[in-house]
Amino acid sequence: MSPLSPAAASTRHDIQGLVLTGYGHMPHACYVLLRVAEARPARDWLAQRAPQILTAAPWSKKDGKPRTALNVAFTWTGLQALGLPQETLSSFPHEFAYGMAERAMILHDFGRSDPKHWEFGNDEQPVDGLLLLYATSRERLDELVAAQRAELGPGLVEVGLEFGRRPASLTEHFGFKDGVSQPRVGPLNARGKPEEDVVQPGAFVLGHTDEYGVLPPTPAVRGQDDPEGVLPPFPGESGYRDLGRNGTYLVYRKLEQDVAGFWRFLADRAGGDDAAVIKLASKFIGRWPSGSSLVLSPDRDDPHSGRPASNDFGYLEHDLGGHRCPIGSHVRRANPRDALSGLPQREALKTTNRHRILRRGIPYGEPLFPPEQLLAGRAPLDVEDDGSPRGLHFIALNASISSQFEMVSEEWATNASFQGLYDSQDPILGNDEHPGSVVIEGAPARRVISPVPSFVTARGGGYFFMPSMTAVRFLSAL
Amino acid sequence: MTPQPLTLIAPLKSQDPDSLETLEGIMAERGRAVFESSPSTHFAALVMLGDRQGRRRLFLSADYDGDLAHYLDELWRAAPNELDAMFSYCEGYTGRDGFLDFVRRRSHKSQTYFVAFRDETANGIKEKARKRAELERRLGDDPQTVAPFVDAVAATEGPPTAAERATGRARAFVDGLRSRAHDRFWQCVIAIARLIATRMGTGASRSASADLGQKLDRETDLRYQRVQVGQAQNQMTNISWVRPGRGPIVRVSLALANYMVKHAFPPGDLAGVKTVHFARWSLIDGGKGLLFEGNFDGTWENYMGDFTDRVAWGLDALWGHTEGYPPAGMKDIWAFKRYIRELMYPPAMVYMAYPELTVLNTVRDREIVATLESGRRGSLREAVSRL
Repeated sequence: MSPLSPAAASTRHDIQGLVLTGYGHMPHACYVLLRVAEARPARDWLAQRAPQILTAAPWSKKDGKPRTALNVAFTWTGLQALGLPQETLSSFPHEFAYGMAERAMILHDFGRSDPKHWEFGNDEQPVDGLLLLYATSRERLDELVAAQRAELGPGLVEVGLEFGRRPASLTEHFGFKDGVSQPRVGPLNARGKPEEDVVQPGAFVLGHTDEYGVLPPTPAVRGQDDPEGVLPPFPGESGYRDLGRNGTYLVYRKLEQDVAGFWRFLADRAGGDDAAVIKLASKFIGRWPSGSSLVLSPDRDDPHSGRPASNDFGYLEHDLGGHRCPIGSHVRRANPRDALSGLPQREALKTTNRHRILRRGIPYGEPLFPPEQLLAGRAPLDVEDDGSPRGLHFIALNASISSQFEMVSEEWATNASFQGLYDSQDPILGNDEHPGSVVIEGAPARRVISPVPSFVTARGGGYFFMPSMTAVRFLSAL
Repeated sequence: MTPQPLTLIAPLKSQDPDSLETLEGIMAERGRAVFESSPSTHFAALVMLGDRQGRRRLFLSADYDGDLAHYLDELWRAAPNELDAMFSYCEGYTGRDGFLDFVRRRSHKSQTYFVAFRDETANGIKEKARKRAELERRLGDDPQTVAPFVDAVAATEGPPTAAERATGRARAFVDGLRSRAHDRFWQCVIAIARLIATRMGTGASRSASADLGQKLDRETDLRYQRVQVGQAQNQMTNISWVRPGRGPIVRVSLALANYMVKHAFPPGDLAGVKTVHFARWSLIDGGKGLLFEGNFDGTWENYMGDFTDRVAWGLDALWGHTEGYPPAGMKDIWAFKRYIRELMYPPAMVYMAYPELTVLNTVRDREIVATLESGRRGSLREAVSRL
């Protein structure tokens, strides 16, 4: 591991920890959804949180890894309620100001996913803030949650409490290993990753150069609104200060998964033994249950190949036509890698890397079947729904919600015409309003599965700004 | 026969807010009927456009097959009441009889006009999609049924003879040579154009700086969102204003760009961007305004990104001479997006003749149908494999 440059090291002290790590050793998480009731006590609460926030500063050898973590983020209405001046509020990107529920058309939140049915994040149950708590064990998490809930004070009202747990198998509820492909953030943590996975820090952290070679848009504060000069100067604009530097945008979606429905549908359509069902399911997802690549191992899951989560592959050279990993599979839509619109490899990678996101999601609810079962080659064919909710707390971090999360979601994932396909849909996310088809490319001809119902339903969510430590100090002193 | 652009900009008799609102309502609610029964229309839009002084005017945009007189006739036959209801708000409008003259007086030439498929009519594009869908239907969804279907046809064809195989190989070789020579030639032309464009652009020398945001306009933003919901295609209209003294260089840039987009790229491809159906630039308002009208696939975000990634050099040369263009050029994508967004006008009505087809879909349809209809042995098997 190469040592960090002094600039990178000081930057990491200013960034909230979740930006650079998914806290792999802390599998227990709780998200406290908040409303700001009174500005001043809410700011005091934030000031008291500041020393508790886990930053991205490298962990010391002496103390070892932290056993709990706390991070905070606010929606646009939350920042408004904290008392941020109007001029600054209007300098945020549009999509952040409007919030997730208003972007339903872009995110395909139709039918059962319509924001009017959400548990939170809509007009009936608005959310201003998000307190993210992580711990190494459930007991430790419960202690942390109890302590934090006791300290909300008159400034904040709790509107929801969401728990999650990352299983040791790292699988999501359909049974597939999740979070295999993650970009690395430029010089801040770029060790040991293939070159195409290293993305400029400005793609995820405001105030730094992004994949276009420029600074991403950042919220501005008038000089007179920051008389103490807490915030860094605004790049290229005297008289303003930069509220965004070292902050990021956090996208949170509570996505419920219909696990029994998924496997029942596949068992019905695969029309064969366990291996056939698992293969079709893997073609839907775009990877094998172990996370191994369909491109590198087209015929069977290869969990023991020495590269269990193998991520060093492209589609262009060996699988342009999608005969191994279908063009419209979930994973290939989310990141088309080097195969995009017939572009040369370098051009395609340039474009896809400009829209990467950091994923920090954690599943919720108990598994419906043991994840080891799939790896052992047995499909959960007879699994029945038990009526208890389960799914994924999807969390993505990016410097521009519209250009990264929303672009990936609308242009690739939910796009019926993705890469020249006809009337297709994401095999997992589906489209409640207008169910499309899933094409499994092959010889002598493709197979079409149509219509494919939706196995994922949005239950709530929001767009949050995760401020830097400097910005936390500024916000608490407004 | 290449489709033609219609850029009709009609000043209004009254700027009274109530009358403007009524007119925009007619455009939004009844405008579709004008184009819906017109087989010659590829794309059409009705937009309430502004001028430099903020005065409103009616903009009718269309990409159509055939000649103008026939096209207008077709529109009148389809929806006389709707056309009359809209244009009676316009200065100089005298009804159906004088409409051709009215349009000729009020429409603007396109200095640069890109058409994805220069040899296709709207009906031709739809017909190819229909043939492909028919092949899909006959195959069914399951590969188990595909093999017997293909084999049955192959059995009637018999295996290719030695002579046919030799001819096929020779044809592939010649095609390869020709295509390589063609590519080489155009690569040279594009390199030269890039050089000239960079010279003619603003230099784009200043480094980018963060910007101070833009005003929120929920209503307008929602209107833009609605245009792109439920279909593969999207639309954009904007006017930028040519900086004083830059008129001549803009005209030269537009002429060069027009030559390039007509000749340098294969069908469905605009300098590597494969999501553009039609794009046109027209000088209006005495050469001071540069109107852009485009039809593209997918999201506006992706459209802007595609152009930045593939052809920033070309757009810097065109838009770089207009007011408010980012000093660092298009590569400063955030400033560029804001520049474009502020110049855009939301359409009151957008009509698309084949809204479910992307450029890539039509490229595939053309290949599949051409293969099917080639009459070569094995063509069915090949067409099926491309589905």
